[in-house]
Amino acid sequence: MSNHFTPAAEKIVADYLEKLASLLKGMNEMDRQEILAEIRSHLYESFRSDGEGDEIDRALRALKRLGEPADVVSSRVGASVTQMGKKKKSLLYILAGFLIVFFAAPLGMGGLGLVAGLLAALAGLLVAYFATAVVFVISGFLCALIGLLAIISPDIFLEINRWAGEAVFQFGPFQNHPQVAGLLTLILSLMMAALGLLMLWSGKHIWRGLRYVFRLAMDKVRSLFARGRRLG
Amino acid sequence: MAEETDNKITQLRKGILELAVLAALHRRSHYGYSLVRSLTTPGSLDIKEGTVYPILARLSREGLVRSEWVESSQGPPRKYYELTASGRSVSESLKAEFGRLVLLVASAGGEPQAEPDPQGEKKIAIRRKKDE
Repeated sequence: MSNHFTPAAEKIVADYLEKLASLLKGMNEMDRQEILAEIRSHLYESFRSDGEGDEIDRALRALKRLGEPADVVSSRVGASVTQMGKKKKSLLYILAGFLIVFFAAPLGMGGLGLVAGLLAALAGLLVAYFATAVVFVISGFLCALIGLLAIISPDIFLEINRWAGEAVFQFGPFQNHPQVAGLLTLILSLMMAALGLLMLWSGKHIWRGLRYVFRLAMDKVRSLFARGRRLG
Repeated sequence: MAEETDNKITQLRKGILELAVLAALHRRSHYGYSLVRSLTTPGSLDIKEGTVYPILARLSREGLVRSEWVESSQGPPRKYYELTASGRSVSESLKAEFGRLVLLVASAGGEPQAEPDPQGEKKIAIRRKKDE
């Protein structure tokens, strides 16, 4: 696609269009591309006719005037897709309803606290999960480096051992074949790094799901408070 | 209370937006952005610009408008919309009906009746109502 925006503005616009595209999942590819092209064209006209401030301000204002991706696509996605979205959502609503009925309703504010606690626990788990994944990736690559070093110049380790006066590096059964040990280290640590990357990759989906549940809960809490204010 | 009024005004505008889109396309063909510009002077309408696209898509599905891509001398191509024959006739009957509704609302409020101006731009009337 030819580029009419400045690079910074293009990044902002592309980001928005990506969100829009994900809302249009399930629609046939041609219609989808056409909508994206039309909105891109709109954003360009809007961007071009706004003369104030720098390009980033102008791009952000163009997006603000356009509205959320949901405003742009509401009701235009084919019936089947809306149905699908509804089904997926209703499952989450059932889950949320379940949480609220079993925790919030009988326990009142305590229940809300419990839900908040659950969410906090989930958030904690999430942090731990990503931390583990990141550590796997980093230490995997570091160990792979050591393994590589052991293959290329095994003498270094023997040298260090000699210098320290004790066996800092031990190659176990491969005492006399540090290169074999290096190769094994390399393979195992690369596997660990791959596992970490896999965790990060699948974590993206877990993160999205949790974010949705979290937002749903926040909305519920907000509407509860709003209702309370109106009554009070 | 003020919040509820705002809500109602937004609802009203949304309902009328489709009519405004048809009226604008009745005058001439538009691409999305120029259509938005013709419906709003900057900052006056707080309906998000993006809301015209679902309307255009629906009108297109109903066969009231057709569209074609036209290269632009600057920037990406634009998708132009124009009314079809059935779009024109629907637009005309809606416009007439809207005129009757405006009269109805004005007379129900006990205000002196204004003769509807056949050439008048309805959106201006709507905006004036809101500003009161």
